[in-house]
Amino acid sequence: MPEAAIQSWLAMADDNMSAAGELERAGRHRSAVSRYYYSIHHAVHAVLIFWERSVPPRGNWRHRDLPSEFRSAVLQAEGGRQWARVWHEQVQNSYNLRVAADYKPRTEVSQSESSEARRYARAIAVYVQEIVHV
Amino acid sequence: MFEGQLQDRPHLSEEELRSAVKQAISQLPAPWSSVVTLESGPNTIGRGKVDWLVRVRSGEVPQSTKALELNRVLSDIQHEVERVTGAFVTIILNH
Repeated sequence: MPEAAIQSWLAMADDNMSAAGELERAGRHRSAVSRYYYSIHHAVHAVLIFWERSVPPRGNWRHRDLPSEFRSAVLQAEGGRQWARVWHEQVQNSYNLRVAADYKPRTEVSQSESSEARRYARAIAVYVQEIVHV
Repeated sequence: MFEGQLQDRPHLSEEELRSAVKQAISQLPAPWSSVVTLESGPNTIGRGKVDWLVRVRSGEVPQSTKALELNRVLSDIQHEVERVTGAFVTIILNH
């Protein structure tokens, strides 16, 4: 198992989570939503590598592929069947929020969206921490 | 939708938080108000770097068709608890 890669992804996930929290506290909700998404993106990469999923040659999964890849992996994990759809929705919803925050200036991104993005990020972080042991 | 500015409230009491969560759960539509519970165990409420983290449990196995609804229920609880406490509170499902 490539432990160094897993630890690097986890460290980046944690760093993004901390940054997102600081941005949310400062009322910078577009940036907070974006960072919360990347916290998920990196944490999911860590667990996919932990589960020895085949990493794409480019070194990471495409954003649009990540929710489905995560769902497939969770489905194969012990006790994962009842959670696969829930996690898929959370990763996908977080990505949708991030796209709105980063690319849609007419879409309002406020405390409500930050709270939502935080909920997805924290839930997945806890799930990944319970699985990944390196 | 929460419209105000949330605060970092590290000294919020666990009892205050627990009460707000239970109140928010009681306001959910049926069957969720009786399906979602907050347990009294030591790991249900914790202080994180970013927020207060609260783990609730769903008595009903989340079927695939319920994923969207479950996410909405958790969102509703969190928004209500944040509105009442004014603190950064994150509600997740204890799986």
